[in-house]
Amino acid sequence: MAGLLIDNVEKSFGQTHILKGIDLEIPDGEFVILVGPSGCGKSTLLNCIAGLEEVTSGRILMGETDMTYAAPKDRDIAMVFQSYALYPNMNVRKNIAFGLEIRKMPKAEIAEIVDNVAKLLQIENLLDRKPSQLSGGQRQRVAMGRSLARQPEVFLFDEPLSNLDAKLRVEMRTEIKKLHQRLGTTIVYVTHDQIEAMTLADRIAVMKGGNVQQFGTPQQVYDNPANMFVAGFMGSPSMNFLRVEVGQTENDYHVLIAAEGHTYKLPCPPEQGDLSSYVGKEVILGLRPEQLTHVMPHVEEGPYVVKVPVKIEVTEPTGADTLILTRINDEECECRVHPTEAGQPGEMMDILFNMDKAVFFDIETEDRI
Amino acid sequence: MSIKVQDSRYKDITARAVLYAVLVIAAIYYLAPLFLMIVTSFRSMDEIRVGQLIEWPKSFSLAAWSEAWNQVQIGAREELGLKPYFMNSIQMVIPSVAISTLLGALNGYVLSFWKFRGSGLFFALLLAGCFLPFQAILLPHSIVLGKLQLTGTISGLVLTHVIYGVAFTTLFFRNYYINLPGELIKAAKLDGAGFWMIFYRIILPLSTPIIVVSVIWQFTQIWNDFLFGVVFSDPDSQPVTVGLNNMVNSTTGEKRYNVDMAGAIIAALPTVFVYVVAGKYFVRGLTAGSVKG
Repeated sequence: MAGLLIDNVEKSFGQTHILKGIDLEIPDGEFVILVGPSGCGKSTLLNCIAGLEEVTSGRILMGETDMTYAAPKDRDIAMVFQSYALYPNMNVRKNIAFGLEIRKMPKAEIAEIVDNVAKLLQIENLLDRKPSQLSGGQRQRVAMGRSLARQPEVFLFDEPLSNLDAKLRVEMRTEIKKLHQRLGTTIVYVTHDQIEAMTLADRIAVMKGGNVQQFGTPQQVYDNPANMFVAGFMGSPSMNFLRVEVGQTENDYHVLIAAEGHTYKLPCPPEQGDLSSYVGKEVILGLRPEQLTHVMPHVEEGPYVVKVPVKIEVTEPTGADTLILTRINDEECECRVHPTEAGQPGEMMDILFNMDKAVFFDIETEDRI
Repeated sequence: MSIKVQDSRYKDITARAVLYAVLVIAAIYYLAPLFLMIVTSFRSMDEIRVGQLIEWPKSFSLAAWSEAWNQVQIGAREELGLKPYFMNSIQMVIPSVAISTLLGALNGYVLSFWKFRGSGLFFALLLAGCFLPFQAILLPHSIVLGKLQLTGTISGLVLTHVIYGVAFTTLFFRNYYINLPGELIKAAKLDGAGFWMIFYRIILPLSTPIIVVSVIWQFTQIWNDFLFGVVFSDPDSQPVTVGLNNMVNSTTGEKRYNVDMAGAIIAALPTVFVYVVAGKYFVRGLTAGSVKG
């Protein structure tokens, strides 16, 4: 097993710069997820790690070895593809054994490994079938089996679950996590699904426009986003962004919001950012929907909680919670309340604004304050 | 209250009847010459002479067939009949088809999965070969054959057909491979397979439909070729198309329709055979690229 060091990797296709200097240090055994919108370069980065694309500059180290210009087959990396890329002309057994055969492993050993992998993934009864005779979930398992069989130093997953239906996706997600816990191999996993990223990762690298915006644990990325893009991308429903003015009362700072013609002061916890240089100016306030709730007594007593009556525009029941769309500072704002507390559209409702985890962004740079 | 009836059954039946009638007439129109050839080849000259060309046979004889195969005097050759020409054609067509199909598969594989700088231009230029009028290259190519000392040999004909067939076979294979998922190649590379291993173990086994298309196409083209056969061959390396032409055109005296017809069918039989054996793959393979499963 080995860790990965990606050192200032750049990749250009002609004049198009896909990766603009990526630095990631991935310790041995870590599950890292690359997440970002389409075209952010996450799949290209994965292909560079695999050696399927040559980097334009920078270095890629596996353990202590510089693999920047090594051939894919010499990197001891296995990859699971979005389309699974099973060899259609071979049955499942041959698919799994192919990589081992090429490495000239003795037949008996291959058979043993195939059996073990099949047992691990519960595909023993499928070994003699062709890929075309398998369902999506089964193909997914076989694709994983093929990469497992090689016992590589590093696993790469390229959006492996995006072709599965919603239920199966959740199941396979859990299985991949279990598998990682059992094997402890380094995994780099690409997805555009932020829920997948949150649930699976030890650490998440949020990418945009060929740059890593933030690299941290799921909780860090969720609670302490580095900029507005990360804040907006992670979390569903996404964070509310409100343009607010900063005010000062002695040593405490607050921001002003307006709802239904009234103005309210929301106190800002000092540990959430130094607003001293923004007094009298506007900033972007970021509040997640779950910080805007119905009135709960134990929350209401908190020092940074303010009760604001708002008008309900739309309600969206999700079962566990009901999402309420309202207007603050003339911008749409989503609140997450208990279904029984939710009112009807057009009615007024008291919402608690909990500023404990509020985040502030500079309007110009969109970076965290 | 009266009930309105909407019944389209009669309209459907009428339309169908007209459609079938047209199809039957078209089928007869196309099959009549073939039928006539077969029937005539079994009749005797006496019968043809006194009767009409289009007539039900009164006698049945294979004499014309054996005459055409190995008895008729063609030109000044010592060996009689179409047989030696037929053998030349076989010796020419098998290596030509095999080599041009294999090269086409290899070209298509490279142009689809191992693109290099300028591979797009390379493919475009190769495609130009499909539209090349062969009359235009007769003289330069005969010089090439002369330099290679292959003038008038079957090997020379094979070389010619390979060169001018590769444009088509490359097109076939490239368009087929371009629809295979590229991730297949990536997966194989990570599994440790190299250029030839991927071609041999992954790509070729997936190519059956397009190989059949290429084989049928090349077989038909090369077997039926007359131009190259007549220009680049010597009397002892002429293919069956040239032999047939000589047989029909070089006889003096009475035209022996039954022998001519039998000869023509003999010359056409191999292509018919290939179509019958592989025809269903042909249609499947031609549409494989357009309608992706």
